[in-house]
Amino acid sequence: MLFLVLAIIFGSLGCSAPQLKRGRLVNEFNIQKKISPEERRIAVCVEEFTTAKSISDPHVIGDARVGVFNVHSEIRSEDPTQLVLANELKRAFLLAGFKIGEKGKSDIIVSGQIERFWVDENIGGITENAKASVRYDIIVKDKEGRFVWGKSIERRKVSGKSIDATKDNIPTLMDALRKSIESIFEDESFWNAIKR
Amino acid sequence: MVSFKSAWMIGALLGFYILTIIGCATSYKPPNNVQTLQERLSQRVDTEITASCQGLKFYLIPLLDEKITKPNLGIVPKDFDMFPVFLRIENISQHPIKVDLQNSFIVTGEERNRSMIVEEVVERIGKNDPQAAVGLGVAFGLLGGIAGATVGVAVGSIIDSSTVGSKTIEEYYHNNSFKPTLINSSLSGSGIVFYDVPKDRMSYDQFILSFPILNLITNEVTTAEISFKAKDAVRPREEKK
Repeated sequence: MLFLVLAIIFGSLGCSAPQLKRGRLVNEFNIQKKISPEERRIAVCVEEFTTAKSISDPHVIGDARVGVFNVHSEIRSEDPTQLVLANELKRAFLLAGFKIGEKGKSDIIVSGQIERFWVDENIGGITENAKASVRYDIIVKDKEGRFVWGKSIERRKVSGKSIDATKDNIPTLMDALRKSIESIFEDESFWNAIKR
Repeated sequence: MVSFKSAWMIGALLGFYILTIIGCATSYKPPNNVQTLQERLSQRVDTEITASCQGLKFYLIPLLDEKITKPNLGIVPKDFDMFPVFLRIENISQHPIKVDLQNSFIVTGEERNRSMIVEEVVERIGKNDPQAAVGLGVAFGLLGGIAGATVGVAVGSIIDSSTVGSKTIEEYYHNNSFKPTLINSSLSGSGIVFYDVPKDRMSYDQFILSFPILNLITNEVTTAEISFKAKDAVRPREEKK
């Protein structure tokens, strides 16, 4: 009986999954290549991405294993994944020296489709780790709607082992997102297409 | 002077060392990239399934035979109601394309069988048959397999604990899945695509693989269909008639 009570008490400890809050999510983008101040600033409009059918609910972004019994618990995002990605892309474009503009007044329009935006956990005997996967297509068009550049982007990230990986879920997912966005600006073909 | 105990230990160590060398020498090394995988699979087929239309070249290898799938995928896919296909698409047109694999399917008889994303494939293997997932490790290398299997069984998280060389099973499947799906002009995408096909539907003679392709310049969607027969599936050469 005592064991059962203790099991319920300890089992229920930490039984809530983390949530992805609205706001600035990726702490620090490392964008090396930028539009120099002497160059004309290109105005970019980042549209909300669509989601592929593998994403049934864009507010559900993962599966946490909570409590002593590792109960499955949905990780939810206040904003849908399309908006999360669009907002972070805007920040990255600003850091890379672009201007953010409206659709009719921008030089380029960025859109795409998200196929995967997910974090869950590897459960080991003693240790666990969080594993995140971010996969999307990004398409850049000019103001006339002509294709300028496009790429399938994928980044996966696994956190270090710890006793409770749940706390690492959101940071690991954001790390995968950050790396995925940085990879756009590391791609020479992107810059060649933009400056053409 | 070497004591009996020390001699025994040295002997045991030597024996283990020799067994390790034999094990490593005889174990099947998993392909370390998609290109190697394709080369290995290509060596097994007499007739290549190829097609081309609108500036795209398709190259297809259906993977049904367990003697091929076991060493390369670690599983017998039909035991998991899955039909894997190795697909390569070369974009020799002047426009970029998007291969919409999520809306792709295989027709068996009159049934359409949807495609699966790689995470779903890995999850199905892990959930439905942990022992088979352990087999993934075992199939790829004696020592790595046993180590992976032992850890996997112990923690009940086999897929992620088994290793293929230095990679986890999940990474291995990710690395060999079809990519990229957005293919720019003069580039290609290749890898394995899994379809959710119940075992009883795999006995058909004729299959049709279908996937929408979006022309990113004109936004026009066309559907590519490749028809193939079960006998075209990869099998060990000696079994071919």
